[in-house]
Amino acid sequence: MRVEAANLGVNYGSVWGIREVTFKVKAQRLAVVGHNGSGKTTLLSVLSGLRKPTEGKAEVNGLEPYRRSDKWVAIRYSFEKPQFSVPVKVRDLVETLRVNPNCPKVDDLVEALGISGFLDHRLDGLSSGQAQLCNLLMALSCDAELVILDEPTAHLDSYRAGLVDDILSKRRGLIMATHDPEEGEAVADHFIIMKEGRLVWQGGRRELFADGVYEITLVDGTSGVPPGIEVVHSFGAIVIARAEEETLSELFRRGLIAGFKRAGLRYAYAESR
Amino acid sequence: MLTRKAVKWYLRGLFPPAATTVLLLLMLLAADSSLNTIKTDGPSQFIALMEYIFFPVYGVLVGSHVFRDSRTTIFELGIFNGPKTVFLARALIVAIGLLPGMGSVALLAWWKGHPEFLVPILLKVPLYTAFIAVLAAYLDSLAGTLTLFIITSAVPMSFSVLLGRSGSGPPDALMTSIAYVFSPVLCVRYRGLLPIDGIHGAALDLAVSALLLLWGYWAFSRREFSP
Repeated sequence: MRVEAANLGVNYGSVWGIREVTFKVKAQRLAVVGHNGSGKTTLLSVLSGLRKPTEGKAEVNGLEPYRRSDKWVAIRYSFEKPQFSVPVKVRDLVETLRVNPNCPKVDDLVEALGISGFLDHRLDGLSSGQAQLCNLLMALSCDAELVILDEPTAHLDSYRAGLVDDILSKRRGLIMATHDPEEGEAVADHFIIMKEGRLVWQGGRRELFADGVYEITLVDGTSGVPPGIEVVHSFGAIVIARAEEETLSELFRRGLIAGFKRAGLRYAYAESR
Repeated sequence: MLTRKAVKWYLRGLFPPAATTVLLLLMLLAADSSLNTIKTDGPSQFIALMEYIFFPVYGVLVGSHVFRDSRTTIFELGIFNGPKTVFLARALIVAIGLLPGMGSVALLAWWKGHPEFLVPILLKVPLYTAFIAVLAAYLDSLAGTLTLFIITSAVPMSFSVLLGRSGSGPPDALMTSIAYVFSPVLCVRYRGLLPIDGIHGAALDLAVSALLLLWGYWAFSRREFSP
């Protein structure tokens, strides 16, 4: 999957959703990370062809998605906070997707995502998590050149979120927006960090997992950080810190920290804020 | 197969039982009562009740079913592989939804000895379908519903004032054409005075409906969304 943006900008009246976004990525799975209002959804709406940019241009595999006549088949989009005002049953959705020749994986996903448990519920009466699963069913059960998912596991319990992440991590041609660093790291092989409508960092897994900086899970968030660790960012019981790997291994053996790993998306995200 | 599934998809919830039953019953009662008064008081009451009140309300009941929010529309475009199937199914469903209301009043008028209303009332089906198709391409639920009511109720009402003006001569061909599009039932009353006769008026309505449907599809297939 090749994704390019050149001086991309989208405005909403006088406010710019994204501006001067430029990148060139070759990856199988791209994660767009950023805080609320950073422009993730706006970027995804252009990449999925839902809207044209105000300035600049974007290309996916050499084509501008918003100019493609086959965009609804070639690109599948699943939005955040799904809510459907449709008085049909989930069973009707499943049966409709079954007759769609572009969607051969319906039955497998109905079982894998646990949708078979609420087939007789109406779409307009689903919980946010169930609606999210139906949204994902539409996006993932059909053959598409590219799947774009906005916060795909935002409303799911951790078990289902894990199942979805496992499915996504095997997919080729995926762009997803997420707030969750663990999810981004579990799924993507290239990362873009957005801040206030602008791109502030991008890189692959090699650049992401920097030497000498670790994400450390403390045994007890209130008892402080053991000596020998220089905290860079603190997230409660998880800290980003500079330390020697041997020091951390020793602290782990002595039970003073619960675990550690190379700092990744959480560090890049915190640094870019 | 997918189009058939799409029609079935939109058929669900098209006729909310309570609202449809009450509205159809009231509409037929009002039509029957006002048709009985035509011989003594003229067709004004029937035209006012049907064209300005009951048909627009019925149109809104049917139209609101396909005025869906952006997220639902994006979802449906994904399920049905793009705008072609979604647009076709929505237009078909609106026509199917309008037929029982318009058809029953048209048949009642014909049965009560007023066949002159049969075609103008039935023309409401393609015209309303076309109005809804264009509005649904641009507007979401609430804005679409309100605009539809204004187009189908307030605009025909204004033509009753325009065509009813005495002393200013008959309206020109352009104004008559617009009157045939927005208020074909009202035009029955002024047929002798209008520069376009009923047959040409009906042909014009069908042609305008077809053009509006094409415009609706063109606009819908180019619509942008901000999720």
